Amino acid sequence: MEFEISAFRGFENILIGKKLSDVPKIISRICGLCHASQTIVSCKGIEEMYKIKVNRQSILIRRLLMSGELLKSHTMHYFFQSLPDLLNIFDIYKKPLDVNDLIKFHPQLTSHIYDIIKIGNDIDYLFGGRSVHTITPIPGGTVYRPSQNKKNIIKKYFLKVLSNLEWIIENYIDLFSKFNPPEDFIIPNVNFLSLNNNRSYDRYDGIITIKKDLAKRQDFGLEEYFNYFDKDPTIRGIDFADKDHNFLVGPISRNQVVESYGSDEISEYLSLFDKKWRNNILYAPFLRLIEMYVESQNSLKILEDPILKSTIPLPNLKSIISREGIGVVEAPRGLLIHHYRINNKNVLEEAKLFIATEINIPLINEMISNYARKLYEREDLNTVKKEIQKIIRAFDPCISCATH
Amino acid sequence: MDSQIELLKEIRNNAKKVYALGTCAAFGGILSLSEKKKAGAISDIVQIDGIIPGCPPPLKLIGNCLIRLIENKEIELSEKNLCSSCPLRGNNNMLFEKQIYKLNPSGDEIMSLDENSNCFLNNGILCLGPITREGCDYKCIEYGIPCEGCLGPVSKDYTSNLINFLSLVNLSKDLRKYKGIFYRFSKPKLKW
Repeated sequence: MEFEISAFRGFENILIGKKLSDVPKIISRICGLCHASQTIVSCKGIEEMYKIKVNRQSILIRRLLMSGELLKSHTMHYFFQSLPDLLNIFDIYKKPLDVNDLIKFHPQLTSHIYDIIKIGNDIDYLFGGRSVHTITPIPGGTVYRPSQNKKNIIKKYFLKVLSNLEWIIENYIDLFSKFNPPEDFIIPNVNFLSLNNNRSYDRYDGIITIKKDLAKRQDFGLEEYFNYFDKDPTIRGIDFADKDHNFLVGPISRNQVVESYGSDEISEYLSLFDKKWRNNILYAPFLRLIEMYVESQNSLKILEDPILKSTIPLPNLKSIISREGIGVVEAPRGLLIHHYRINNKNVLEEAKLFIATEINIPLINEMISNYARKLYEREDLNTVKKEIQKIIRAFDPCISCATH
Repeated sequence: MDSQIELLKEIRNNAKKVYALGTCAAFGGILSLSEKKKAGAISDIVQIDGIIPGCPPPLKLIGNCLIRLIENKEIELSEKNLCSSCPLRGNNNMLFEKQIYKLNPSGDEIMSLDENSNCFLNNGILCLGPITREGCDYKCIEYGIPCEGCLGPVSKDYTSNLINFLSLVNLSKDLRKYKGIFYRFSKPKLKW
């Protein structure tokens, strides 16, 4: 059994020969879900070449855009992909559920979920110019036209998201916290890989950490990434220095690497789940809800920042200092790195894109092979195929990103 | 790829109406930039009843198209170009003799954009508004970024429009050599 994404679009090839200012616009089209992360990480890579320090206002707007994107991506995954599987796995709902069953199962949950999806879209529309393929992040900063009215609307949106999320999280705890997660979904010994800022939750800034065997930590700066993993852009897949253990990125790795989400409510929520959940892939849906809560709280703080009242000029990018630039962010599905190199005509000569789903694929395959082998002893092939899909869905793989 | 073509044919055989949603399906999209891969419009493979273009298709456009389809009416797209509704148009006429030498405005040009600003083309910045269909509410222009043509060609005869446009503007040597400006979203499908 193997999970393979067969299509391949060749963005790393498309980018060759392109001017730097063109790159983020093209790269955004890799994915309609994590377009903001893709655009922003591309801008960060290019800003490295100009050695430009991006102003704080631009960074805050980028953080808001990434939060809007996360709300939309995580909510849709929770409702349409995770929840039906969880209700099945824990025998709360015996038959497979489609969207109509879900709406009937909990109309109030459905309405809360749809509110958050719409708000995620609206946040990116108001600060990004469009709800998909945002216009405002450009190399050097973020185009921002301050408007008190806009800020007030967004503030109301985040307050609404927080109140909806409190309800959704409590509903989740009622439904699932009393169970022990099934052993078939335990993550084997892996390298948890995530960005973090002094061990705090941060998806924009920080260092990269690999945590092994739930204990050993290895911190490193972005410019050293190739000591741990690298790729040949003409061949699919990523090469890892550690050949014995696969790598995991995404909410579970962020939870393993980060020591603080910076919120008391979160610690309380997390304490309601037994330790057994922590290295089980079925913990990821709950962590996605938690991340949405943390980012909504952080976004409310950003909206109070007085720097959002002023108009700050954006720099004119003139002299390139370094021929190479690397950018990093944590996309909703995990670590995302872009590494660019330009030639003497200042157009792109090589692009390496390290995409979260691509990092997770070897681990997904390890887990589904083990599970399939075990299941096949007592079930027919069709059941096996259906069951292993639950593991694949729990990872929230992004087919669009993985076919870059 | 073959399995996707089979799926598309199956959809055509079973559906009363088939519309190409988004610029990739309508014209080939951003993959038109690829020199190694062949990107194509779905109308190269199956007959379609219309297109809803855009990368992404604007929310209002999708909404209006859906309403028309529910009412059993055909989708109507504007036949005008983006300049016809561009907020920067009222301020000046296009000075075609001006040299177009860059793809993107600088940071200060972006931040100083307001309702009195000059047309991008008059400032030497390439904007594809003249050969791109309107319908996006000129969001990029509002944020100081010129049109990159994501809604696709304005009329069914894109090639002659493009030739007319190129005969009027004076592109710098650097931009003339730069690949993928005009066919960024629609190289494989110039007509539909």
